[in-house]
Amino acid sequence: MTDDSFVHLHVASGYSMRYGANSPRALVDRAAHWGQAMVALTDRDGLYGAVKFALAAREAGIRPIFGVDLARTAQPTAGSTAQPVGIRRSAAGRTGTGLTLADRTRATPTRASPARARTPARGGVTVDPHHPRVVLLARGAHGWAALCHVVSAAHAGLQQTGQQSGRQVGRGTPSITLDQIAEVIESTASGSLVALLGPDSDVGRALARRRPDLAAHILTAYLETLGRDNVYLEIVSHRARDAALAASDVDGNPARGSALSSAFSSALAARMLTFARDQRLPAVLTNAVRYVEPSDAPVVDVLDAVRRLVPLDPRHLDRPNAEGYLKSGPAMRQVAREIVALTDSSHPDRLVDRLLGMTSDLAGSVALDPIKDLGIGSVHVPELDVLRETLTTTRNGTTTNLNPAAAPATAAAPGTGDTGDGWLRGRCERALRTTYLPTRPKGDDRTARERLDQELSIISTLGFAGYFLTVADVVALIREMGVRVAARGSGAGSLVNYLLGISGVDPLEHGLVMERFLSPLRRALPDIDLDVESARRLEVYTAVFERFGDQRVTCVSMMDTYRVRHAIRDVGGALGMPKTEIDHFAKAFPHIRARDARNALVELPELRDSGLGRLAAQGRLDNFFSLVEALDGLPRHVAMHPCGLVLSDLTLLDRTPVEASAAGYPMSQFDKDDVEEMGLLKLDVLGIRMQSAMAHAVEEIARVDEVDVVVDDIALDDEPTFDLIRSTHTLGCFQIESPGQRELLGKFGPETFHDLIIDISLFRPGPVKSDMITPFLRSRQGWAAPAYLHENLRPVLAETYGVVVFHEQVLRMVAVMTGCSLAEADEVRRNLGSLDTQNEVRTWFYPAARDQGYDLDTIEEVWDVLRAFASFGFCKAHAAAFALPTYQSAWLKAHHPAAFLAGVLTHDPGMYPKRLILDDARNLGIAILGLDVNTSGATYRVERVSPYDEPPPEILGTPPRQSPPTPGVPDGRAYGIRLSLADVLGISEREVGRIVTGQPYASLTDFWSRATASRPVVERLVLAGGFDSIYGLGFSVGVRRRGQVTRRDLLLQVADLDRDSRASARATPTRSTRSTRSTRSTDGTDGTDGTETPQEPDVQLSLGFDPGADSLTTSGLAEMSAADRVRAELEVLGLDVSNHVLDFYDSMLHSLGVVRSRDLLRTRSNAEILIAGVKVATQTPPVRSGRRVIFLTLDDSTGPVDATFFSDVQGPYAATVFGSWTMLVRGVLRRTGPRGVSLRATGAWDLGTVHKVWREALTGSSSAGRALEAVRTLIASTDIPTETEQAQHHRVLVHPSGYRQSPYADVGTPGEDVKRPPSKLWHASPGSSG
Amino acid sequence: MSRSQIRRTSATGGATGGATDAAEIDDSRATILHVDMDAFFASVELLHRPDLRGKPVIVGGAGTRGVVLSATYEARRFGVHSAMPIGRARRLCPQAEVITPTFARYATISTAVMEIFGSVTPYVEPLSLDEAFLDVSGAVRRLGSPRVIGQLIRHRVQSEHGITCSVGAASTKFVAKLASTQAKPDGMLVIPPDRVVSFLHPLPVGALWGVGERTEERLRRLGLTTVGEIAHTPESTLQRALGHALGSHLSALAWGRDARPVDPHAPDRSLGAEETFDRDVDDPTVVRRELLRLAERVGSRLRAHGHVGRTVALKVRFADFTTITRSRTLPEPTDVAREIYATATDLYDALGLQRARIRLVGIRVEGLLASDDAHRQLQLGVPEVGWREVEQAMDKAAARFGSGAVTPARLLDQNRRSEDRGEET
Repeated sequence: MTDDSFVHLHVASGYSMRYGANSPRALVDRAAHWGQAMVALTDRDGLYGAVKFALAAREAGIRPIFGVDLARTAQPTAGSTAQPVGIRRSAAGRTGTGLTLADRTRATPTRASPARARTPARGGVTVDPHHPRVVLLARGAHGWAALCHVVSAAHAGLQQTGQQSGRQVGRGTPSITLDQIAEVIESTASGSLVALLGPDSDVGRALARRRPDLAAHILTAYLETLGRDNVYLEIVSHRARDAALAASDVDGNPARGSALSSAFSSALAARMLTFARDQRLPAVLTNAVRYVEPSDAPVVDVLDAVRRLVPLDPRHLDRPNAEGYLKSGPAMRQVAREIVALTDSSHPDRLVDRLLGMTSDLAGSVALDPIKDLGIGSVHVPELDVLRETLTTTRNGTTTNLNPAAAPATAAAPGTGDTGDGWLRGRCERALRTTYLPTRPKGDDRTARERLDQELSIISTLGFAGYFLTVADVVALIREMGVRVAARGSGAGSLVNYLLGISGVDPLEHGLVMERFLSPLRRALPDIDLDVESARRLEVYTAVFERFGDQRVTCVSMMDTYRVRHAIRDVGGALGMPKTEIDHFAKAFPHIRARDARNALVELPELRDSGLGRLAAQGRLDNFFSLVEALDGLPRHVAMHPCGLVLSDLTLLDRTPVEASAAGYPMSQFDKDDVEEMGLLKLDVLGIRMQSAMAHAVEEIARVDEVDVVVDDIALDDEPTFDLIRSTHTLGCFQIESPGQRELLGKFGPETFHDLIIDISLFRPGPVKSDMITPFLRSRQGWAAPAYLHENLRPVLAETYGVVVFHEQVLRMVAVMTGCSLAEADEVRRNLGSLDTQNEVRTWFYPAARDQGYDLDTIEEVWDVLRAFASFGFCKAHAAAFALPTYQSAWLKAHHPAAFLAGVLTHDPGMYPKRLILDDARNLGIAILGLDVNTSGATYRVERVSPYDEPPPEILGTPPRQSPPTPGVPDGRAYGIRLSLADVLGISEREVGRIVTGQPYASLTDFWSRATASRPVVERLVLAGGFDSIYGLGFSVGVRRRGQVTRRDLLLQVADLDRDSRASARATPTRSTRSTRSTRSTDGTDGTDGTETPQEPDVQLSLGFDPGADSLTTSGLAEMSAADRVRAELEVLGLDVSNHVLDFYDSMLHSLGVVRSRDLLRTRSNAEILIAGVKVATQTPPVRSGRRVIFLTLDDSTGPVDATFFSDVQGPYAATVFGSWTMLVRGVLRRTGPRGVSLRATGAWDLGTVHKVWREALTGSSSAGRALEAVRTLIASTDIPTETEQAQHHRVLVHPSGYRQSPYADVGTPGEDVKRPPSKLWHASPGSSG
Repeated sequence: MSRSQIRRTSATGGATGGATDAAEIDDSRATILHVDMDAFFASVELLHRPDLRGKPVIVGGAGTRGVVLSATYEARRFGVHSAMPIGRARRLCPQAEVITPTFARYATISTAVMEIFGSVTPYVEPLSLDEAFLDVSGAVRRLGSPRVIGQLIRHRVQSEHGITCSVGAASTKFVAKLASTQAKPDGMLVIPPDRVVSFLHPLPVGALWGVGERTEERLRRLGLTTVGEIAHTPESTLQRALGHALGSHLSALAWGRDARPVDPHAPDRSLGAEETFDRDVDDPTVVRRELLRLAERVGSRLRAHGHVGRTVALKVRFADFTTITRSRTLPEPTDVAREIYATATDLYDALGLQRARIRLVGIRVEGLLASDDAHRQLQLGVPEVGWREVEQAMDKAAARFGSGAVTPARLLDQNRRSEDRGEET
């Protein structure tokens, strides 16, 4: 045996959440580097990294060993009575009987078990109970299944403790009992699991306390459970001092840290080795690895602190030193020697050899073959008889029109071992005959039949019939539920999908090819994504679970990894920084990778010039940011993937471990890539908010107008719809509302559905990068003749004027140029995506094209286009599937604007804040109806109103609602949109429910007693005008009627009512008070604010009597001003309802000559103008230059205004763009098309600051001219640094297509989310008096 | 917000030390003076570091921890203010010099300054190291009008100690204190009774004593943003909105009514000490040790003042600055550190904290009585000579050999500052 042959059997990767410091790949590579033939991955609590580990091992040529490191408890953790998730029901029923004495006298009782005296006042309970741990390795053919089951069992029953303390700290601590292990072994095979009992096991801990008797006792239980051949002692030494023996206190609670450190001492290792000899048990040497390099050790400290939610402190750290890394064979032999030297062995060398020998023997017996033992690469879809069952159900359902062919009785009945081919063919042919062909022209007959035959034969070759039948089944199930569903993705290219009712786009009509979706050259399961209404997505999940059963279905998980903001939060927390500081640090960054933190501090002007940047430049934050960067990419949290479902046969739980998601759904520990590797059928069921928005719109139309709209039946050539699209007033519409898209629409002017498909495909990174848009638009507008690369390519590219837009065109181009099949062409397309394979393609492409007789110039030219296209661009099938909801949403907006926008406001599908949508509604003439406790519901509702305002607006001093000035934009003046209760800050769903149920209310008292909302919520309702209609308030008429109640009087009344409730609650203690406020002062300085003590009401109040009705008139409080109202609306609803925020700056903006959105089209090109507005979006999209470009969208009450900040002006202005909510922007206007303008920004200033300067100058001199002068001075005072100053900080990422991209493109921008106004926004409030 | 607004008004209102209008204003009834050192700790530090004059200087805990205790006006221009976490201050003003406090220096100068006050009038009510109320009505004949006395004090403090102070003079403590705030830095503002209302009413509500952030927000919702608006709101309305006591309190203050006299012997109602940890602490052992230290300190000061107290209050401030207090009333008043410690740890244990990160702990003994008045019942089975006597012996040793001569063994390994940091009475 050579020194190098060591095998690490206990290795944690970063997939041990907040424990391990490196990726499985890094660990595998290091093992390979040391020449080790095998390596194990034994992550804590799960197999999250197992598939990635297996793949890395295969690439490195190393044999993988799979295992898990679990906490062991005597009782299952919380919720033991619950049916364990993922454990077959039959396995239950062994409770209590198998408990051994050792189980009862655990070596290490934990603090968690005894009933806690009381809930901690603050900070929550300890989150990392220090259970003893056991490593379980999978062995043999059933090993993997056993491992999956044991992990699932460890997680079972945890959902009850889920979301502990409201933070994402994981869902409790998974743990396993010996009984559960026994059950798993029983249900698989004996010997399928091997246990390693190390220093941190209960056996090890007993030995640490020098209690071999106790250790032996505990050991017996393990031997009984696992069998004598399957229990090993794990010898570990990190060369820790053996000093802290006494540190385990008398109760057996190890003093954290110090006790663990001593657990990694050679002395204990020697004792364990001796113990193994005495017990005649085999022992193996491991290094309990947590990191690849000693230098990664500080990262582990941060992870320990973060996992336990405690500050970085020696008490909380597990490692005594940096010895726990992936050591080489010789280094491990040295460790073995040191340990053996401390035993009483007379032949130390022989003992070293034996220890290492046993280690490698065990390794050899537990190494698995991923293909054979894990089943990687094989396909498992639900059994056909399950489908038959469900199809029968479908047939019995009422809506069978979507499944016309579902008649299994006539189709060939599947027997066992049947692949389902016959059945699938039967269904497809029936659909072809009965529904497809009759609607098609005669000539298509043969084409369609040939296409179907071809598709079916490919499906049959690949053995995927069951897959298609399963998906068809799920779609039918969803439709039956009355949920809107649409297929997206390349699946729309398949006729089979269309015939089965999976996809709604006819591939033959739109020239879509199947090979992009399913190719005989690929064995991977094709991808079909289903879009459903977001609000009903979980309902769909539940239905799928019910139909197929927990044993065959599971959700897919998603590993949240550290990016810069989370890394800053966790490191800051570990270092004990104040929360507000951490928050400030985190929000200063865009959503970049953690490892780019320090680069960003230098490169981004808004960071570089901030206090943070300057501190960093002084080197004060080096430690902090090196830890932040070290966390980069490490898994931090596992969550349910928003759309993935896995459907399989009964062996599913043998192949994937399952845990409960936060919502309680069973969830595989594998992510979507892993699941595909494992050959599991993944079906993406995406919740699309636009589908929900459209469903809501349809409901509102039916309710208010009594018209039934069937969105899926709308003809695709509606002229008003295209008028609207061409007007670019497309806010809220699916896919075409972004600034860039609106600009493109203005230039493009789509006229048909096909144009819409092209439009959506053009606005993608590929075409943008390859600069395809300009030539396309030139040809389209007839300014230039279309140019074709070669005459043979004309048929392929004619639909897009010679420009390559679609994947399908790439496939056909390759086929035309080389004469290969479309399936081969799709492989070529895929290989264009990476630099490595790109060159291979090139060496094949040139000769192949030459053979077809093309000259070198043409080949060269075509190749350049193909290369630039890389793997980007868009699949036309996908675009067609996308264009459908785009068209549908535009149709709804064109014909039913109020209902559509009510849907958009309710389900918030878009990129903009709701207040912009509200503004859009206003601009369409739709009345915005304020919050009203008597008419507002849980959603935004449409009300019919008189098209002309009553009373006439002149009386109220407000302008009347205008019909939209732009042609093609609908007039919504006959409707109003009533605001929703759901948007009230802090209101709960139950409160909304109670309020709606109790409607109508006669008075505030009535509301207080029946709706029982919390006091803060009632106060907010008052402030936002929810009671205005009851009390006849709501118009800011200058003259106040005598005795008129104000919102402020109502506020006082709420206080009275609250006092009254408390008083009567004291009298009758059974009635609970509804105080929701904490009694802690936030800054400690405010302690004298003695308002907390409930006061006896001044007037004795009795129930039924409206308290304070008399005193309402004598409060002496003025009604809220217009500015007060808007402020209250923003605070309570996040929306400015009664006035636009910008209205309060009107006079200044007018004096400055600020151009409004609606006037932009009338402004001449190249003029330098000022615009102003409320920020509604910032984006940093990828652009050709490789520089960062900031797109800013402002809303100025007449519509959105877009401005572009190129890198040369970002220096002084980026901080303002990201940090301010209202802004004044200077820029140069350029006309780009019939309805297109763009603004190149040359400066940005916080509008509040500008206004303050204005107001102060105005009060100082009372001359508008002076004030104007002051503002102009302010604007002129900012310098733009020279280009060279900036150029030195400039990195670019280079893509395989040769495209250069800024590392800061396409990531979330710094600062707060723009969807809600900032909490402190009126610091420089205009309008308020004083 | 309130703070800055006050300052802004002072800049425009400009009623500082100028003597031009001195003759016109009848200041004879503005006999209550509030004297407040300008950026006291920072100014004292500048005496030792003249090279830093004119530069932003912050006095506060070292490293990234602790809060700003004092900052020069150069630093305040960047938004730095006291009680702000040091980390934030450094970010706002990276160029500032941060100096660790040397409390002994401040105490020395404070004592000397208080002596100056004492030479003017016996009616001096110190509020802290750096501010005091003076009632000068008895000194007017001897020294001149309150304005003259104010200038005299300002002059003496400056010439004898090299630091500046600001003085507010009015007929009530409340208005005098507001006036000194307005006068800062290095200024004086006299508000005679007939000008009180016009002085008060434009001020933001936050200027009123007893209005914190929460109350300010509540008042704003009712449309009350200035003191004048409060004044013109019926008292009953304020009471409905804020509760009985606070409502009438604010109503009175808004009209400048404040009956509190300057009381040189204001009996301590409570006595306490608190400590901010160098870093947030979640280790119960460390917290208990700190409680013991604080209890020792409070106990010895109770005995020094001849007080006993009946209620022990524990204050805990968490890492996120939320603060809780818990208190327990003892059967017998005490001045024994042991008893205070036992009660405080009981209160602490009852919180059931497991991993909460604590920023500050404090102990306060309330309901003080003179120890002579409190008769102590003998308890059965407890030796009559107990901890009280031990601690008295410790006091004597400390008096003779310096503080810390005798100390509980548990505190021995602590390498502690001797300054009573963050202490208040």
